[in-house]
Formats: sequence, C-alpha cells, structure tokens
Amino acid sequence: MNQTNKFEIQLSSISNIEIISLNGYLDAHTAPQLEKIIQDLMQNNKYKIIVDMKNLDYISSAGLGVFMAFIEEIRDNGGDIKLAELKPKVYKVFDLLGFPILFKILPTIDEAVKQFEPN
Amino acid sequence: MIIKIKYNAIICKGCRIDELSKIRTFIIKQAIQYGFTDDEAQFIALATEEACTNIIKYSYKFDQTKDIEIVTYKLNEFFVVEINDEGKPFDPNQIDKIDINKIFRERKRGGLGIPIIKKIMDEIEYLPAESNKKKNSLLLKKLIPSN
Repeated sequence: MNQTNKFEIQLSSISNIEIISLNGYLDAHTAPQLEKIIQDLMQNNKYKIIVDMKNLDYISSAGLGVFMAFIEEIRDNGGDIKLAELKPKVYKVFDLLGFPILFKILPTIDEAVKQFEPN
Repeated sequence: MIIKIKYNAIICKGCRIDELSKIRTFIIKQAIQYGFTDDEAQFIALATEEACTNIIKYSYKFDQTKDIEIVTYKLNEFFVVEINDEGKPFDPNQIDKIDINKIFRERKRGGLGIPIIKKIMDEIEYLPAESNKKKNSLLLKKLIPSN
C-alpha cells in the first residue's frame, strides 16, 4: 500500500502575478493548505493568481471547492485565478462538473500570464 | 487508524481523511481487475473517496472510534463498491442535480462531492440501517466494460 500521499505548494511571482505551484495530491486533507495560501495572498491585495498544476497528480472535490470559494471575491477585486498545465487526468475532474466554463484553463504558464496583460 | 484488507474488502478502523489514499489504492486495484482502464479506475476511486470523506466529516464528525467497511464485487453487469458505515443515515439520491452556477454565486466550497459521485457512477443505491441491519450501505455501481 502507498504511504499517505504527499502535497506541496511553492509560491513565486512574475511581475505582479502570483504563481502557486501545486505538487502531489490535493484532497480533503491537503485542501486547507491551499486555502490558507490563497487567503494570505488576498489579505495582501494580491488578486492576480495563476495555479501551476503541472505536478499535480490528483484532485478531489475539496480541491475544486477551494477555487469555488474564492474566485468571485478575487474577480470582484479585479483579479482572477487562472489554471495552467493540467495533466489530462486532473483536467477530467474539472471537466466532470463543468469547471472549464467557469475558469480559464490554459496549456502553459506563459499563456496564463498573457491573459493578465492588458490588450 | 487500522486498515485491514481481505481479498475484496477493506476495513478502516478509526478512519481518517489523511489516510483515504489507502482506500483509493485498493479501489483502483480492484476496478482494474474487473477490466476498467486506469482512468476509469481512478474515477471510481475518486467517487469512493468522496463518499468516505462525507461519512467521516458529516456523519462521524471525525469520531475515530467508528469504522468504514468497503466491499467490492460483481452484481449482474455492474462492478459494485459497497460502503458500510454506522453513522446517521444519509441518502445521496436525495440531493438534486447540481447547479454549478448557484454554488459559484454563493461562494460555496462544499457540496461538490455528491455531484462528482453521480457523474462518475452509473447507479447509486442506498440501504439505511434497520433493526435487523446495523449499518448503512451505499452501493456505487459502474457498468463493467464489455470487452
């Protein structure tokens, strides 16, 4: 049997955009860690967020729920949460509930950054 | 938490959310044996995890003296994941179809588990505990691939 699945979060930024990089398993046990990171960013008036999911192996409804909880407040403040580099198996979970209509999902971080640039 | 695995059954004594990955691994192995692809097996494991998370959070309220027992088997054309618990009965079939835009507007972070289970599984049957049956049983059914 596997050990408890790991989960790690790394923060970085490109100009005024915050990049949250997720690694491992985002489920009911680990989702509060992501929730805290997003809350901290919002408290510091950082509302332009890209979530880098290239190393995310698993997401459950608790992970989806974190994005649902904050997205509207973030957009009300002129920002957004854009999701980038999802593995196909992670994308399929987002797709189950129609999330691609609600969230901008981009193939690369660069394309997600461009979405924040003024036209 | 103590996990006991016996062929097609897993008993989780004092089940904790941080160890549900063990149930996930068990279900994936079982589903693959019945001919599901890796992706399908992972989805069935996700549905099982969502059901167990709901039991631990809402029915047991994190009470670690309670157990969850999961049995997998074939019933007619279905692969069945039977989840037995000793909490307050709750039939997920009572939950209406999800309105994702409503959850979005209301800034809710919960309520997505049952919609995920319903999207993944083909049939859901719920048998609440009765006088001659101590545990609630949730049967998550998925049609077994024909080839």
